Amino acid sequence: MAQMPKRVKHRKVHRGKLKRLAHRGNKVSFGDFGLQALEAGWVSANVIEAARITANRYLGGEGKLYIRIFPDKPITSTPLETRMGKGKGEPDYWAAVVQPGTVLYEIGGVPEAVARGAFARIAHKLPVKARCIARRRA
Amino acid sequence: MKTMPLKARKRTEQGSRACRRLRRAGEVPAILYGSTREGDQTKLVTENLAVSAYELTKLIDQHASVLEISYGAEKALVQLSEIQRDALGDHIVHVDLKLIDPNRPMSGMVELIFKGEPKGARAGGKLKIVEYAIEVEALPRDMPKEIEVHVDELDVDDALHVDELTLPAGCKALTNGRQLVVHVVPPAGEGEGEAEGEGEAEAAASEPEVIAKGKKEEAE
Repeated sequence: MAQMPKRVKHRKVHRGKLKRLAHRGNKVSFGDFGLQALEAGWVSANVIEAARITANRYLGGEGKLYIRIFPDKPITSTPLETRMGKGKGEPDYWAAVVQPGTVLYEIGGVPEAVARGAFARIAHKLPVKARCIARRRA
Repeated sequence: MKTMPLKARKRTEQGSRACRRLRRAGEVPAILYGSTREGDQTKLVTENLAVSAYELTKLIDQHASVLEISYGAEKALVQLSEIQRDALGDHIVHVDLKLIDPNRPMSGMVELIFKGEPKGARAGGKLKIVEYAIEVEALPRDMPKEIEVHVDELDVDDALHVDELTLPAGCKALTNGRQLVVHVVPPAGEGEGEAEGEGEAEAAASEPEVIAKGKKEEAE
């Protein structure tokens, strides 16, 4: 099941700008390897879930996959064949705002080749370019 | 631990624009700070320096934490106390160099290197690393680059804590001794998988969102 917030303050939010770099959540914190976004974009809850499933299938019970993003932004849309006006559309899906540098997923407890394989499968599903990075030493 | 040499130069230009020019020219702005003792007197030192980005990256890749820095006619033993990177983590933006006394203990984070395959992993368990580095106190010459942790003997449900680690001679762990470092978790049972599935089904049935309503509506 795709993720979504349990409670929200506002049903609809502004679109916002995707101009900044990620100055938080840009390090590998839980696992050994991470998948870092190189572009900005919205990653929908369905994509996050699909990527999780494909990575876990590839890992086959080995290691641990961490999801570092959460879809907390409601994206609205107006139905097809609707006349202009009549206000903002209804919430359609939830998305996570991703900035260049954001670590999207992390994997721990597997060799690098396996982590890269899982990340390659995740990256195919993502709407942003991403790369594999290793945990940086203290 | 062998101290690594690093050449630096004093910089007079300061501020974001000057630092940006410096980085474009292949250097990294650095600050040197600390105190030195001359007899009974303590002298505070602060210097704005510039170091070669290439040399610095090479040293950091070798896990150097204690450096012998030379700038102008002066030399100093320093600790790499903070490394600032850009958002993508590719480039070093700034480094803090802290003066250290070779005869006084210093503290710093030391990386843990996990060696071997745990006994429990062969039985289906998973090695879970909780701490990747611990804080250690030692004289600069005794400061290790990394600490090896052998996990071969760990069975399922076994754990290693900070006080059970074998530290190099002259080192003392500052991290809490009861802090968990690594443990082997038992294999996930079939029951757990089913429970996860049920939870998902429940989530699917629930309402997509609960809107936090204002006091005004609650009063109504």
